[in-house]
Amino acid sequence: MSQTVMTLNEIHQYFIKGLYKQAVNDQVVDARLFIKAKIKLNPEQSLEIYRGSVIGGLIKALAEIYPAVKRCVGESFFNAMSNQYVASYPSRSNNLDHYGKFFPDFIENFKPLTDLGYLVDLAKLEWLWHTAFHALNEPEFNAQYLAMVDEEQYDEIIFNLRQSIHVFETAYPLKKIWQLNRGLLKLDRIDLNEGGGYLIVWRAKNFEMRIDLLQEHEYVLLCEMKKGLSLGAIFEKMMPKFNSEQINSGLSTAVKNSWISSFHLSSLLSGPNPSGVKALDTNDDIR
Amino acid sequence: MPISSDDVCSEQISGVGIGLRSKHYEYILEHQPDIPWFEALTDNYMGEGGQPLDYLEKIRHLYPMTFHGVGLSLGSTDPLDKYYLKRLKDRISQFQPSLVSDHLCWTSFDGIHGNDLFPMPYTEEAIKHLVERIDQVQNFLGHKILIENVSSYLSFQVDAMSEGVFLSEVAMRADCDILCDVNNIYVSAINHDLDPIAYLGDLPAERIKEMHLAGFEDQGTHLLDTHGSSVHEPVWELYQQALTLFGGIPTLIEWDTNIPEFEVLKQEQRKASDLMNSYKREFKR
Repeated sequence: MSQTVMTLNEIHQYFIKGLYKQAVNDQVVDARLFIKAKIKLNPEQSLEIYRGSVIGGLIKALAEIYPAVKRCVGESFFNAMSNQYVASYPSRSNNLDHYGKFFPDFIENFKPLTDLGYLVDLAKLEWLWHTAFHALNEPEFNAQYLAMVDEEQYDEIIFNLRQSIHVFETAYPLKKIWQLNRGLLKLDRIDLNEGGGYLIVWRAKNFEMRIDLLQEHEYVLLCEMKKGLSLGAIFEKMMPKFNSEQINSGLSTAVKNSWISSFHLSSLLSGPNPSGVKALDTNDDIR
Repeated sequence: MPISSDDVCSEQISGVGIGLRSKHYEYILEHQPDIPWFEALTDNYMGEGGQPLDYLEKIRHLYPMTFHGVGLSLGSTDPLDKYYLKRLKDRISQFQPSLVSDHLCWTSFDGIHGNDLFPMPYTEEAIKHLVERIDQVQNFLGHKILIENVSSYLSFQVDAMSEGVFLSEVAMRADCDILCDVNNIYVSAINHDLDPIAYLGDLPAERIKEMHLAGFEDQGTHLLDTHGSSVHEPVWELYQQALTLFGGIPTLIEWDTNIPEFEVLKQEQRKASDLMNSYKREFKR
């Protein structure tokens, strides 16, 4: 290709492919094709400045999202691993908050770490934390609305969970591992075999980020709510294993902690509303 | 379509502002330092919600604000990101910044992003491309934007004009304004063995609506625009030249890496204010 006829599109293609060390037309990009030599820098060295900046920026973004993973494996290992991640997963968004979503999957398949299963869960937990941190602000749930529902319509209630809550099941003592590696807990050692459990990652009032342990019935309840099941369907599904007292207690906790953003009645979704009860949402004004 | 820069927000800024960084949120809210305005990095507030937006709202109640972005990718041959533009318009509507700026650069090709500011080739084709895209952005937002010159570490074989001429042509044909980053001019001038004062002379003074000051690092083979230190002496000198040419237009102290305590930024802000005030006394625009 002649150097003088390169179009804007071709220059961008050669630049970005060269940056990520990808081929163009099955050939390694030769920076001399489109970059001028400088007194102190040849074209490849000039491109290397941008390569260092881009890869360094993406590794920094990963380090900010996954600080506990970084602390577990050490900085140099983290940087080397992240370097490989960047090569496999170039950024696909102009928003760096979106970068690193596949890091837990990458760790799962990263051969030097295959024996450290807890790291995969730790990475998943940190990604959930990151997404909860940036999740939509939603109004506080107002329990007064629940009191307006007729008792015979309770089974029809479908709760909507906040976008800023995520539940998580793990085989490892993940909360302790996370706390230890975020400097929130002092322990000489953690027994990885002491068992796992259920966690909720959520953003509480005043933007306080929290990770809390859940009872199994609370975890199952929140999972079923997330699927969009009605209260009647949830009771039916959970009753063989859990009693109604546990389910009601889980509901009470969810309301108290404002894990619920709003609710509606299933009958109002699929046809005429026989009861005349208006679909309720916390965005509605109480009159 | 002719667009008035006054349409962004009626609140005008003046003097020397400081780049708003998360490290200083609490300090600013608690101490309410005597700073005429802050500049928010728009891309830090593009999430659905969360605490950063809450802080921005609280600080906006106290101070005039400008928006500065890195995500428009005006020079890219990829389509403009409509989702980003829509979110930007929503944020502008919510926070009413006095100025909205992005860079004379590109950041992606074929959906692969560098999340960095890549220089444009300085060609007629690139001018036309940028003018068309800036026109689309300004029409969508309903007001003018400012485009900022980036630091660069390479130049292209196809370059047919200087960066200053290129930037001026784009601004004039697109009818947009210019954010003149004095540090970036110095960094690029040293890296490309050019005269930074001649660069300033190429720019249309009437379109310069904001200036930036920041620090760089000398890497031996080149200067690297790190925004991680105090403004260097040659950049202060160039800033004085810029004040002579453009007058005392709003200027920003930027510091993005190794961010120091707020007082350090305040010292830089005072120094820039003193220089601006001394030129304001002599300069009749």
